[in-house]
Amino acid sequence: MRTCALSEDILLTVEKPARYIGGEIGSIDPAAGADVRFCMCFPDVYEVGMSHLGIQILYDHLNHMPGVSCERVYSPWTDLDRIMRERKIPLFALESQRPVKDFDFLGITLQYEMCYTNILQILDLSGIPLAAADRSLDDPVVIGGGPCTYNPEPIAEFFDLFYIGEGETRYAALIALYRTCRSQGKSREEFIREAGKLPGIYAPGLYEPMYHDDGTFREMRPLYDDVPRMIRKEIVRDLSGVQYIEHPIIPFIQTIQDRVTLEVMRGCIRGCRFCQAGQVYKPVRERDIGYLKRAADTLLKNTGYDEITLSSLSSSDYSGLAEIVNYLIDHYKEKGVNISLPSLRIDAFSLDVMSQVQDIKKSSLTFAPEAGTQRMRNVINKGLTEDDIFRGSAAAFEGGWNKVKLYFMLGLPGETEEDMRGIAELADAVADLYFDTVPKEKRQGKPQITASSSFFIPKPFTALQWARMYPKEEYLRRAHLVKDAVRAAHHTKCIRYMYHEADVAIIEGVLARGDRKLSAVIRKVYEAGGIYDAWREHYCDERWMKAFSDCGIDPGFYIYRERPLDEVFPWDHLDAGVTKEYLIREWKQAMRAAVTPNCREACAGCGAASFGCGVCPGAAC
Amino acid sequence: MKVRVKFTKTGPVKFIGHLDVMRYFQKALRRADFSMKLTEGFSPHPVMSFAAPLALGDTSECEYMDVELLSVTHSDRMRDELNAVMAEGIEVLSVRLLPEGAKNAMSSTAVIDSRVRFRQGMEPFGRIPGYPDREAFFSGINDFLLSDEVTIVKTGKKGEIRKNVKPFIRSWISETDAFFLSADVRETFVNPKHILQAYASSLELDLDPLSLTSHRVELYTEIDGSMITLEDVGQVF
Repeated sequence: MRTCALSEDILLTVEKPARYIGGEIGSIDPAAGADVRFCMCFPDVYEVGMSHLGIQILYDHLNHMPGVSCERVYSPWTDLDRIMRERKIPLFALESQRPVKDFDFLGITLQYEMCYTNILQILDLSGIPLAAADRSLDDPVVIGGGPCTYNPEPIAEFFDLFYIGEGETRYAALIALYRTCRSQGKSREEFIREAGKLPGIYAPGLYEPMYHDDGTFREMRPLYDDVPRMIRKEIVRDLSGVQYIEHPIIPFIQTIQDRVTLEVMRGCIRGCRFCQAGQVYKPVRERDIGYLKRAADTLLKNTGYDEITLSSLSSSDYSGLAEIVNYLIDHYKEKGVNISLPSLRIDAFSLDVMSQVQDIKKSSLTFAPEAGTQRMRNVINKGLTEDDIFRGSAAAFEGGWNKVKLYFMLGLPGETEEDMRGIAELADAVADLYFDTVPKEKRQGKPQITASSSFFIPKPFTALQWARMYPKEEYLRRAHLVKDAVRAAHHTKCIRYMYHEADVAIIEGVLARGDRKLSAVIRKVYEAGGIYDAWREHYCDERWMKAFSDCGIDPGFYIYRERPLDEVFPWDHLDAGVTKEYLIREWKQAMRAAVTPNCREACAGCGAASFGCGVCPGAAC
Repeated sequence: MKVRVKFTKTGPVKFIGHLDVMRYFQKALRRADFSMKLTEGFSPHPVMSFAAPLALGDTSECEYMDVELLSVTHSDRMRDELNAVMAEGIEVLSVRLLPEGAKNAMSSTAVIDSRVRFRQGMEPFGRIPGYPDREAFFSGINDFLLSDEVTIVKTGKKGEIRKNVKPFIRSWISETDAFFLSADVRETFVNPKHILQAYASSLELDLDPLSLTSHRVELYTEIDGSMITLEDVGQVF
């Protein structure tokens, strides 16, 4: 029987002790001999981390490699965090319950900027020096991956390596190199130097950031001649050619995504100008329909889940959607398996599917117009028109739904008060449509329209990466303006308006487009007790502001200026597949409120065709 | 048709709560490809019933779950099929077919046999002043339980409740490092930990409730005046 790293009195005291015991179905038996031990980390609480598909994919991938074992670790919740510090208990991996520090690699997935302080929590509790430069041969190689690696500079000081792109392609080579270096008795520095030459691997310590006198970025200078000037992202060219997970880990406790996740494709054809995922996961690559059917069968059989979700950035754009959905309904509806379809465009087909798999009375329909007016939607290249929303809503109301959710962003470039009010007007028009569409005798109370807005945060490798942000007061003014417009709306009683926190958006904005100088700020925030910044109840704005001023850094520098088109960015040495020329073209298109066709309609020449795969013209697979 | 599954809960999985064990078995039954009867409606789920919930952190060799199936094969085969998909610490001991009209595991439990001991590293002996040695502590329980009244203190939603549980104590054994209790739980749930706490406070000793762990040994139901195990209500098939 396995024994737990934590004593029983601790496990009985903390919230949800099952977060820390491991042993879930699908997790590996760490006893099997492995010469390279990898610990994969999602720096947030277990229920969040366990819901992430990427880690499940890499866990499976690494554990299939001969001689390699991969385990997991998540951020201990604040209650256990305190106990571990008090009693000096080292952070441990779930499978073997052994200290993280004893592993060869610590892989940390970087899904959102607000988890950065949790990275330091993980390193600190593990007893690994926070700065990569202070680590010795006894410490694991700390490697980051995931979307935030497209500008990893603010956390560069804490990482030995970053893996840029999709993880399935280069870990075998990286681990082979590690073995060779170890057997030849090479130093940690020598290994990192060699690793930095592998495609897709960025070793930040081998580069020195150079700045202009005004603080703007000048260049990322390689410290050695043999270090690549540009690091190009890795992608899987043929997604049907790689094995899908067969035995995902099934958590004992309920997690955010507590179901089978079937990834139908990667990338997105849409080219929304605010969306980082849409750019950095290009080009669109679909999985073969036969592959998906087989994977669905295997996964449902091996897990026993009663729900399956089809995952992608825009499932409606998967060309075999109707076929896979009908297959799942035909084969699994009788067995009580529910099918969930996030990121679906609302049209006749999706409504038909949803009416078969969901309880109409309870479920709501979600639209993401992202902006209140057509002009603003053209700026962000969001293809959804008012007509699409009205047609979809009308069909939904006729089908018996009366709950509609609408997602918006505030603070987009060139936003006017008309655009802000447009949010309320659109919500009002949807409510109006309900009364027009549904005859009195069929109405089930009034429609429930929920409009929520977040504040737009410019991200690297998007067409809007030059855009400015606004101070908190300005964001709140805009949100209140929308709120007042909702109050004044004809159907105000049918509309609920919610908006996100403005202070967190500002920090996220700074970190998203920040440079290496910010490592000091993040460290200060952590040292002042900051962890779980992604959780509202643990986020502390004063802590961040004090850290900025202690470090002599003006956060406004990173966000309150529209950046000139010739400014060099701290992430320009990374090649995400889309060229800066393309992004500049798109920025200019945005400024003209001009729409760019999606990848299937016409190639916009973004640069991703150079991968030679997927939806791109001339693709080989 | 309804089958009764008897299983253990030991090792680290003792830190999984009752509701999560129920969810675990919903999936496990699907993994084992049992043909379950599902409820009607938009979220069909299997019809299951679990015997008395086990407290988080306690262990058992006699957990029971009833589930309605559409078809069955053989007791041993179905037990093996379930064991092929179990997590460490949860072992299926038997699968039995319940007779028509049998009361479910939850409502039919009449007697619980369990054994309480101190958790590893949390024994008070030699650590907390005033405690007798281990042997004296456990053998002293005999005198305590021989009196006519055994009053335990439960802290519930309505505050402290004091209750004489002597009438519900069927038998006990004071062992060298543990206390075995057989209690009738039909009228009130008699927790052996509460009895040990009452005993300790009769000696004016502090007893940290976290330091105790209970291990369930068997559950019984009363049929025609005699106590038989929940397992034996069902038949081998």
